[in-house]
Amino acid sequence: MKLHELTISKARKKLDSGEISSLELTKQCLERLEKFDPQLNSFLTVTKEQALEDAKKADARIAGGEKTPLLGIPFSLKDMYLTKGIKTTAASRVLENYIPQYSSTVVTKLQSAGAVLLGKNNQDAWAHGSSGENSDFGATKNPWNLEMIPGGSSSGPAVTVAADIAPFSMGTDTGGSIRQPASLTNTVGIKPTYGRVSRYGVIAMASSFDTMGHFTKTAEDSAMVLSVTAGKDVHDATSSPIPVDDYSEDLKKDIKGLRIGMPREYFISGMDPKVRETVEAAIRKLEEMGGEIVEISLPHTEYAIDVYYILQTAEVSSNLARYDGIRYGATRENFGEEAKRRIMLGTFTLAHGYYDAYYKKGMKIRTLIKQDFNKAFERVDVIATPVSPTTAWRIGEKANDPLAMYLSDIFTVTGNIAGIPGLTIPVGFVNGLPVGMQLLGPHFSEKLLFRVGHQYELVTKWYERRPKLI
Amino acid sequence: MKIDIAHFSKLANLPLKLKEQEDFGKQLSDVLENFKKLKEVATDKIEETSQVTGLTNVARTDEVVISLSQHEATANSKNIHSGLFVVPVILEEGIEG
Repeated sequence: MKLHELTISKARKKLDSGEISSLELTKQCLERLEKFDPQLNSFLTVTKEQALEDAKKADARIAGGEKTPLLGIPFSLKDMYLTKGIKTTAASRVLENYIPQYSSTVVTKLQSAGAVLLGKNNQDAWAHGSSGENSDFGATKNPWNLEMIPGGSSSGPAVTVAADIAPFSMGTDTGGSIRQPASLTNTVGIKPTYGRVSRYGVIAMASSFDTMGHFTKTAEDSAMVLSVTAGKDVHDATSSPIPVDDYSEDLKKDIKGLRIGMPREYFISGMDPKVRETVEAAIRKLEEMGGEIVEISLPHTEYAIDVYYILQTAEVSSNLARYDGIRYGATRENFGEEAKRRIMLGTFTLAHGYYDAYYKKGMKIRTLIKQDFNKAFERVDVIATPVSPTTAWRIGEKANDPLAMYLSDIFTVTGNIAGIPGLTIPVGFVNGLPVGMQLLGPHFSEKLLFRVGHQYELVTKWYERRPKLI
Repeated sequence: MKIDIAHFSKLANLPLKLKEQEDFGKQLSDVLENFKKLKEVATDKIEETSQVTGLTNVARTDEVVISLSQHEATANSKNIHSGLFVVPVILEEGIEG
């Protein structure tokens, strides 16, 4: 049995019935990691011994009758998540030797739930990037074509799930860094509502945009992971007191009569026409399934990418000020090029004389973008859009053109600006490379997004396609 | 737009080599040129959004709770003296009185 191909949902049934053990499952995942990661470069640290220990502990809990969603399920973490005693680097030379003294809340929750940590993933350093090429430890490769980027900044986590190394992985999404790599790797990626999942113990990128989400093979699995990671945390003052939904509750409900908005500003001529056709075909599928397609407008969309790069880099310049080599880490000249560029841009827009024209203006347009979504959600239940203007591109192709790189976030940044949840689901392939579609919903509507995603995956089953790795 | 990169690199506490200063100067100019189109948007009567949660005054009770030990807190530093972080000099003698 190919245990590494199991979804969390299928693995759960087999673990609970005793058909397989977490130790067997974990061993197969680790073998796959050892076999393929030299080609993929998706891991920076592998916690093999600890994983085997944790798998045995999980098996004991299962034998004792415990039945919880992630018990015994292997996973990996983007290297932004602090793990006590386990090196955490943000894929940067500045933190090359940093060993945290505490774990992030998400890690504590997942480990208490009995999930089995395989290791820490490679990524764009400091989560700055959309391709995985900004890692100080080498680029991660796309398992669908090793000459292509997998997307970023959660490159390693996306590849871990896409290559069947683990059934789920944690990423972070500040401007699209989960949703975009999910769409380029045929995986499901959730960016939860801002404040739904605690940010405590996760290396901060842009504090009013950062969200803690994850990758899975299916929307059904994604709901299971969120049920464990979501919730108010006393250590994160921005975490929401709104009670956590039962995210799996509505998965089996059909989408007849659901109003699905198609914003005209997201279906533009600048994107790859085949990608556009693939997403439009998926939306027609949703219509066949009973959804009502409504054309809407989100008029401030064209300003979103600029607003994002002003506000995000300003927050980045502030958050990275702590890395001065005094309490931890190496000194500041060890920052990579992209980090330096963003620190400089952020410092500029916050500076005296420029603050009003850039940062303050950006914050006001942020209000307008939020209002666009509020108005839209009075007329529709969810919004469907492309995720990436293109499929995965060649390693090196955009590396010397920062502006081109920034434009790859064009469809995803609005979700972070407004703080709303977004789900990427696989919707097909163009020239053998995956295409995803994004579903956006009102704040705290993850349950609805999972429902639409699951209903769609039941009839299309894109998740059954696997990359050829040798 | 000509940017005084040296000035901003000092503000950012980010030492840059000469080549980096040149490259960033050009790239930042290009990016800032792009940002100009934001002037088109009418924002006079619009309030700023600094955070999207709507939460205010989130506090906990003022009681001492367990935290990191001094040993743990200083464990990642290369420069400790008697359990304290050693920091660069920020005030020097000869300051005008």
